Amino acid sequence: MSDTVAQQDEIQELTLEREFAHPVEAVFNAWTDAKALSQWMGPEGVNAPEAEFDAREGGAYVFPMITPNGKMTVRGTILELVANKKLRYTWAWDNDDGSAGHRMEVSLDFHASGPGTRLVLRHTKFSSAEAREHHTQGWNGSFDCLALYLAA
Amino acid sequence: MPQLSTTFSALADPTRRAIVARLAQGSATVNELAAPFDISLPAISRHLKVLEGAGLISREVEAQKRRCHLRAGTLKQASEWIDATRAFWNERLDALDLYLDENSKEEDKKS
Repeated sequence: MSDTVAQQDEIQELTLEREFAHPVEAVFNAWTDAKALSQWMGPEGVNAPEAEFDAREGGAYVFPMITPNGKMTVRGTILELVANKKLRYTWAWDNDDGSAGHRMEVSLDFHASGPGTRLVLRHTKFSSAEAREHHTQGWNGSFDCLALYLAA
Repeated sequence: MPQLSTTFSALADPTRRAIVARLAQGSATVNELAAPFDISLPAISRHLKVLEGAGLISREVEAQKRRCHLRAGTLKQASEWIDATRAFWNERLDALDLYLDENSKEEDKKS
């Protein structure tokens, strides 16, 4: 039973680790400088729409991207930023009509690893704020469920 | 078809995840589902309503038995998300690697 429960946990959260042969400062800069981001986070090719990244807690970012599914834009707000150590932001793809889609969360931990960097990336299907909202909705919905149960 | 985000919201709770895991082994009555937990039957019913709303389970309305069944298609969608997202990030990190290499070569040229 506990194995299957762990699998359900994994379904809503993804963790990746990568080693880069570059110092933390260079890797962290690549994640927080708009010009750098437009070269690797953005669409392929040189002439690309600009990525925007306001590198401070509360700042906003936009990454217009060309993916196999066509042009898609992701945007969010920076929740946490500690230079050369930590970056965490909300992550939501635009819907077709330009409105913001479901809000997820991406967190990045930068660890110096010898002369290089170990990056730990976590992408959760929820932003913690949204999970709390759903908990609240669950409690508010309790009375009609109770009525249904009692009526059974 | 419920939104994928509703599916993940439903799976955000450990009790609901355990219920889904139990139903993956076969259908069960509400009482059977409630048995492993130290929470009330109304609380279990709340959880079942959330899971049903997310399209993860279906419930029979028979008054006495009230059997619940797992809807595997919804869960499969959720696990497909993780594969797609993993592929997305692996591609981005490959591109980051390339960018860092090229960028450091340019830095070396300048110095």
